[in-house]
Amino acid sequence: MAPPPRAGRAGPGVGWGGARLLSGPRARILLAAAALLLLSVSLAFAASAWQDIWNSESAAKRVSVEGDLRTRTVVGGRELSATAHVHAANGKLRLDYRSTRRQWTLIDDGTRLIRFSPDRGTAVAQPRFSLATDRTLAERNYTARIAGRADVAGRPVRAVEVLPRAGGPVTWRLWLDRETGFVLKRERYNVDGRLTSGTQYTSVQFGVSVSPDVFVIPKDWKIEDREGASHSLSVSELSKQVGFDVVSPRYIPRGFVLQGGYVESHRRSGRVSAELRYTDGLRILNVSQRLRGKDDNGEAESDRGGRRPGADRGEGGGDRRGRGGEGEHERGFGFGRPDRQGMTLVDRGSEKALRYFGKHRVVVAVGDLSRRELVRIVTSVD
Amino acid sequence: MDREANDLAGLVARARSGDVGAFESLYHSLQAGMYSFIRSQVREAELAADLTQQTFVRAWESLPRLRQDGAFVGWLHRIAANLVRDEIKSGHARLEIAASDVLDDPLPDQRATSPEEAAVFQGLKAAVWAALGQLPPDQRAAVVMHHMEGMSVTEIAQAMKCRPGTVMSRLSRAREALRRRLSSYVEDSDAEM
Amino acid sequence: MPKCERIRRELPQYAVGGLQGRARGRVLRHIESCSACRTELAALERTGALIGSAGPLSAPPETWPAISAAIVARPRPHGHPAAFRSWRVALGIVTVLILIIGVVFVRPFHSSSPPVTVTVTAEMEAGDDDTPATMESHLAAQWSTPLADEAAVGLRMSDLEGS
Repeated sequence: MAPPPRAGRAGPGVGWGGARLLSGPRARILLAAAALLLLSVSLAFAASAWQDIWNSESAAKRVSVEGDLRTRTVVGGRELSATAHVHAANGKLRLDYRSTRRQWTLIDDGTRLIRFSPDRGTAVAQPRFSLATDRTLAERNYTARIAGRADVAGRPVRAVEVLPRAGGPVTWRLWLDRETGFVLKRERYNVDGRLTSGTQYTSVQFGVSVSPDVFVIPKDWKIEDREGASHSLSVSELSKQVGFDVVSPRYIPRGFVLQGGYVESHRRSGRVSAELRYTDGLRILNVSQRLRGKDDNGEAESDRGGRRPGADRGEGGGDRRGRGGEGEHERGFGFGRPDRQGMTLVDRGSEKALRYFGKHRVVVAVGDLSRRELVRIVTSVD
Repeated sequence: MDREANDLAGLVARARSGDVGAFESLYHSLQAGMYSFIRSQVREAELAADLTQQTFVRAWESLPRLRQDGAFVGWLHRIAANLVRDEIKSGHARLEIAASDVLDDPLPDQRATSPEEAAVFQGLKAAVWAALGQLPPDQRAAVVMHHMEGMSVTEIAQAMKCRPGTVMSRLSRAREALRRRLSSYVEDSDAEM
Repeated sequence: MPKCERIRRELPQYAVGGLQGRARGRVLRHIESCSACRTELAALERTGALIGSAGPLSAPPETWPAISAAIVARPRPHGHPAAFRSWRVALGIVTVLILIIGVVFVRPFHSSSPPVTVTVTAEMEAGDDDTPATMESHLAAQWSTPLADEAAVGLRMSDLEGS
């Protein structure tokens, strides 16, 4: 038998009165349970979205594919676009590109990246850098959410968005084939929220038989092997290889961890830099450094036929337009040295590159970060 | 090695304890952005320089009141905005800039490699600043902070004490207006498709 | 309202990254097939690049000396009120220790860094050997990252190769 209502309590008598449900300890328990349920559902959806993403990563290796896609990317103030015919199988990939100007091919045979154009007759191969996916790192720095359903290339897909946990615009939008998990469409947004690349399959077949010969360069082609590292070095090993003490940046954006060090070769000058590579699970940050040489001191860029970087507005850079740099100083320079100074930022949309002439080192940082972050990184090296 | 010694928040902390050298480093890191921000709001270059000076002096004096070292840049912008507002109220400044004002900018541009190129570039710069001068002050401030100081939308929102959506709205309206006003330059530049 | 007119109104927001979700998708789908809107978007994006190329301006060189003179003439910034004096003493000791370590092990920041300004460009400069090397390395590393858009990365690699 239910107890009689307490004196002073409003509402109906014993039973399922609505007012009783909304007051007192029972209401608090119900609200807490609802909140827990909502949280669980949200977490489940987030976990499901991440699961879909990791499935798509393994699908790319598992599933054999032939199809056509359209791709577009922003480089600085230009937009590049092309179509490509795709073959993928056993973790290998071949893209036969066609744009309005030319055709070329890119092959990832699992150990090398090979680029060649029919009109050049030479293939360029570089070691394929392999980075083990750190899922924990990616999930720590980014959140994933399911964004709906659609159709791409005539196939039903699930849309997923990935965005930084620290706040900011969406980084990735992915449309995943519901049957295979394969990514049929993707959009990449930069740190400023701008769409910087988009790729979409226009036709696709799964489970096709792909001949291994597709991933092999024709025998009569000349291959130019480029240097490149396939495994990373520690900072001390890197210092030994490049012959100077490599300085780690004292500032690195939150969420990024050191992935390793690499020797970076400059094709044009033959110089060598020490590169430290960082990742936040999805994005890469490269910070390269080399010691300043004699030809970094006092030589105008115009001597080498190009524009002079950085040293404008009276701050830094003692030379101009072909002069040797001794004695002719910019107004407001004030330091009495003819050395190159300053920073030049190349904003390519998908990433930014900042080159900095420090006192002892030339530092370059490349990544999809704000200008301010890049300035902090390079100035924390020298 | 103190990891934060050389980043902005570290410099702010050192400046707070009276380190003038750290404050000088802060000045050099931020002066171009602050000067551009102030210059976009007042008519004369000399007044902008004076207000820039006052901004940093006031920041030095008020540093103990800054609660978060990481909020220094936004806080500095608010000091500058208050000083500009005071100047306008006193009738000493007007919120407009003319192309000729920018041509009086004391430091010449050295990116050009020939006098002709320098003249072209100076003309472009003057046209951009003149076009900026015709925007409402809030839009102008957002454009300078975003395009010239490299601040993110979130950082601008913190500095202007508004929502990121409001910043986006100001940037997009400004972009539309500037696209029309700079049409001759926009349509002349190369764009590879 | 005709579709182009509606999309045109949204292009400035799209250009600054202010459109999300369906609205963004709508614009993207439209510009794939409309060259007029695509041209207008490119013009809006070029406008952004033009603005960046016109600044920032730098304060006159005499500005810092004037600031320095003014702050030297003023009392140093005070710490917390008297109630926190013990905290201030502790903080002072820690600061001194950090400064000593800094002086002994680290070159002071302000004495080794001349003032610099950032020049912004859309393309790498001819004669710059450092940036292309790191950029190549960056693209090669991007190829292998999770979620990499290999088709787009390949497109940028070929553009870099040709530059």
